[in-house]
Amino acid sequence: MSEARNRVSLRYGARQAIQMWRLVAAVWLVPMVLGAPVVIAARRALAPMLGPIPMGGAAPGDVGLVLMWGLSRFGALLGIGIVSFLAAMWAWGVLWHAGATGWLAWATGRRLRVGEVVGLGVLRWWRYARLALTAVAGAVVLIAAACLPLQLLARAARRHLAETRMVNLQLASLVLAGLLLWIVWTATLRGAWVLANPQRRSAALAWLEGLTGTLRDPLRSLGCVLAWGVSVKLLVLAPLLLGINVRVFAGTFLGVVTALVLGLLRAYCIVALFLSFAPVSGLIVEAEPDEEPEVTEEPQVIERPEPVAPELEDSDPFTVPSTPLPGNGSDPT
Amino acid sequence: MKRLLILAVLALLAAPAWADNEPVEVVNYEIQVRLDPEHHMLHGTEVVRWTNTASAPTGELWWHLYLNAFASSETTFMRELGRRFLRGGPVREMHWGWTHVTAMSLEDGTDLLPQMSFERPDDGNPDDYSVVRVKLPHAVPPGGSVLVHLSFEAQLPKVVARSGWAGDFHLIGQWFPKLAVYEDAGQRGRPAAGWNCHQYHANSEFYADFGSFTVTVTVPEEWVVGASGVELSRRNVEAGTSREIQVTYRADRVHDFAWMAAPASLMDVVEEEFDPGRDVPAPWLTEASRLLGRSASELELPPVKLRLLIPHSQRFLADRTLLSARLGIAWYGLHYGPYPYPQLTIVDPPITAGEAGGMEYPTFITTGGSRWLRYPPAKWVPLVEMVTIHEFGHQYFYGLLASNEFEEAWLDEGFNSFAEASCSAAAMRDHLFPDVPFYNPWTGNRASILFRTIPVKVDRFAWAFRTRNDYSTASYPKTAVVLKTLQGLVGPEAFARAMRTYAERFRFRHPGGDDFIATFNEAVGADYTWFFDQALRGQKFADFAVLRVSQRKVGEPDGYEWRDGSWEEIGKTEESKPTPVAGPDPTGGETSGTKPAAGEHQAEGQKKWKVAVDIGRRGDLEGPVDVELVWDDGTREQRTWDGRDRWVEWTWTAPHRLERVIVDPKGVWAMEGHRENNYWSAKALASKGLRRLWWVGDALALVGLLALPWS
Repeated sequence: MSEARNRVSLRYGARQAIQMWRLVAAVWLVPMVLGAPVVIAARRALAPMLGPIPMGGAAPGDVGLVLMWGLSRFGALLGIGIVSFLAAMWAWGVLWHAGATGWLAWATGRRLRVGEVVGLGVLRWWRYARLALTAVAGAVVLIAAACLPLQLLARAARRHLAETRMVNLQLASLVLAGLLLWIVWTATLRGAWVLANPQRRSAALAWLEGLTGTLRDPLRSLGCVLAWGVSVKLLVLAPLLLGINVRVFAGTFLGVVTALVLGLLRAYCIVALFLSFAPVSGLIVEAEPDEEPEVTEEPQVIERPEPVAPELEDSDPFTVPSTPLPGNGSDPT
Repeated sequence: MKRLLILAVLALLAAPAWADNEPVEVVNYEIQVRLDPEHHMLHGTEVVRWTNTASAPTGELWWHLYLNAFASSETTFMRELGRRFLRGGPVREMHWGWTHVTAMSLEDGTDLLPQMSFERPDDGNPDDYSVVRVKLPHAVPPGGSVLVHLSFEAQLPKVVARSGWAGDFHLIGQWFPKLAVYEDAGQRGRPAAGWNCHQYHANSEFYADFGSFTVTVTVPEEWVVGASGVELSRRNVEAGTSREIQVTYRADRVHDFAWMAAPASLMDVVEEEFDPGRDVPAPWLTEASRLLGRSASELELPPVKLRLLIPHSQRFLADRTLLSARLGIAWYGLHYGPYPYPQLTIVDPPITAGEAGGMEYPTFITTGGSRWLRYPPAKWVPLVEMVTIHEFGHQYFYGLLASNEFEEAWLDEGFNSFAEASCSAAAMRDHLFPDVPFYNPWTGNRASILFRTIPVKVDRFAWAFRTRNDYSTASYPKTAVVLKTLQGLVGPEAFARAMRTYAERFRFRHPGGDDFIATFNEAVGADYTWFFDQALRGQKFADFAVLRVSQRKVGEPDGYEWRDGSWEEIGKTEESKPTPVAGPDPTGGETSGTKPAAGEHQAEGQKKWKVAVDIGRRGDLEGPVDVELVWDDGTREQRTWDGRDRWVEWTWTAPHRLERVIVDPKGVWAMEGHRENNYWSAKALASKGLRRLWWVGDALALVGLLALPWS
């Protein structure tokens, strides 16, 4: 067995996401299912208004006016629908992240089942929700601490009609806020894998450990998030941009298929991003670059001793025994 | 007789001078003013010669002291302003302003100060001091004039409602004691001659007589000045320990004078020229020539000097601003007559002086920019272009066609909104400035009508609207779409010629709404009073709709028919006669449709459809509307409904079915906001409507991404 490396690994994430393709499929499908009510409701509300208008034969400006009118009539309901969608998406995000860490930590060579991941996610949901809320609080504190002074300086510059200085300060504030959000996101991903260890209960401490880990290994950590994150953003924008600029993608079968494929790729990138941080947990062994990894369908697993005692700290049936796991640098006995 | 003939010939020769109306110089101002930048105060002297051009004498002079509107929270302006400034910022940190006339006398030394009294002709508010009446010892007869000397001090407010200071930047508008307009009987519908002088309201702008201004401003030496008119001279002066410059400006044939002053370290000065040979886009010249029926040489424009004062931080906007000004000069010049002044001064106020932006004075405009416009996505929005064109456009609607902005704000704001949207649409169409995907300059105007729950009447005094939003909607977008609708109803050529006639006839005059309507009707050769009464003077709104379409197969007739004096079983005779189609008087709510020609034999087994279409008015504005009918064999039929009744029904018995009905297919009725009921289609709606909504799912995913980046 090669020596474990507790470092973020783009390659590991990319490979593991392919192996956990069922999870990728779930991450692809579930948002569509969650968003379906909103999309269906919006289309059912607006389609009858737009349907009678001939394609390319409307009076100038009519389509825009009809859309505006339709949205204004159903705007409140759509707003509620969108907020509900976002809440559901957040909950789902926490769920599958929690489930994925639990599954990887617990994996004994079995084929991944989405149901198991979901089950593990449900059991761990609150722990990971606390992690997500910690991240939000951390972001607010960090951004406020960093950007507030800049905003105050910008306000002073405005009073003195120093517009260039004002805008530069505001831009710096925006860039800094973006950078901090990036760091917070990375720290949260690392923290999620720290929390994978069942010994770790404190979400706040896990997040802080994630933050320190990020700052200790910034290039690799941030670079990984940048690479996968930018891909995700582009894949979200791509169907819209294609549909707007290339007529053949706007509302056609080709357009729908393209959007679905891009959505699947997006899901892959999202899962790969998360799994790229798995090695930091110490639960995962990644093959050295010069080793030929065994090509198996199942993820590489660690030989673990059988669970020692049924005395568990909580009722979680999936809790791994408290014996330290190999690869963490500690004596397993 | 011979003398009469000569006079008649001379009169005929003078007739084409409509295009070259010269103003009657009513008032002449000579003003000396010094700016005290530390205290933001003005100290000035003014010599005003006023000529009575009316047919009745007057024994008093009425003046506007506009800055007094900012004297306290109790003035009419400030009470009406509410909690938000005109440009939207919250009303707070007010630094008040006022004007104090310290001396006023006639040429012979007669002191007029004791004869001065504050008046409140609009609301009787005792805390409002924006109007002053001065009684003269002797009446000024028709054709006579009076010379008044006065001294004044003015405290500039921190910039509010287009005027004031922000730091060292000073935008000085409505700053001097200004004479009101003495209107003659018959002018703008007045029954008798009298002074037209309103208090300064939050919703109103201004109204004054044409004349000339010679203004000498004194500012600190290292400052730059921009003003109406042209610079005549400048010299350095010593004032105690400080050094100052005196700059003298002259503006002729204008009715107002504004200026700005700021340190040279704050503002850049960029000068360019509008060169008609270079700056008039060829497609615009061709289009204007065709619309107006005039040759290119008749539409020739003179060069204009452009002087832009812009903050250093926004220097990158200079090219865009000047390009927009040149496009505006070209468009308005082609359509409404040449810009008659040698120079246009443009000021882009710095940040914190936003309340001074977006404003017009004769030969002097303020725009508005931001350093953020250097970066995407703000960079891609043609905001600078549209504001510059709009403010330039006011050189015509308000500047040359000097309507009363207190009483008929729509005549300048609405007309200019129409012209500016037309110019912007042409500029985007011809890629002369940034065009935004899916954006149509008319959409915003039309949308503001769409969301109104209570229709708004356009023709009201500016302060008589229920809310500021009502005033804005009525004066700007509603009037603009009313004109756009009129353009569609009369046709673009007739409309363009009528507008040109109006612009030429009332150049350097004070037109009223009735003047415009009468001129328009005369120019198009038809009476559109019915339209103006509803659209401008009434509160009616337009909403035409397809109410119902029914199509059913006509079965073979059964039973007996009366023929040749006896009952015969149907179908048993050798000849079959055409089936009559219902269709009495078209004006009774029902009209007849197509029917087979008499004697034509219907093919055996040919289906027949009984088709009925109901078109109606959900709105109360009556007017003709086109309806397009598309049959499933591809034929298209165009009909016009006069719109007088509430609805009309058209019926046919036809071999084909209707596939589509479109009310107002060309979008003539721009003032109709509800367009969702203008379309009917026989085919399944789902696929067509859904295809248009292909983006909904992707947009939701984008919202998810923005809100939850990891999703």
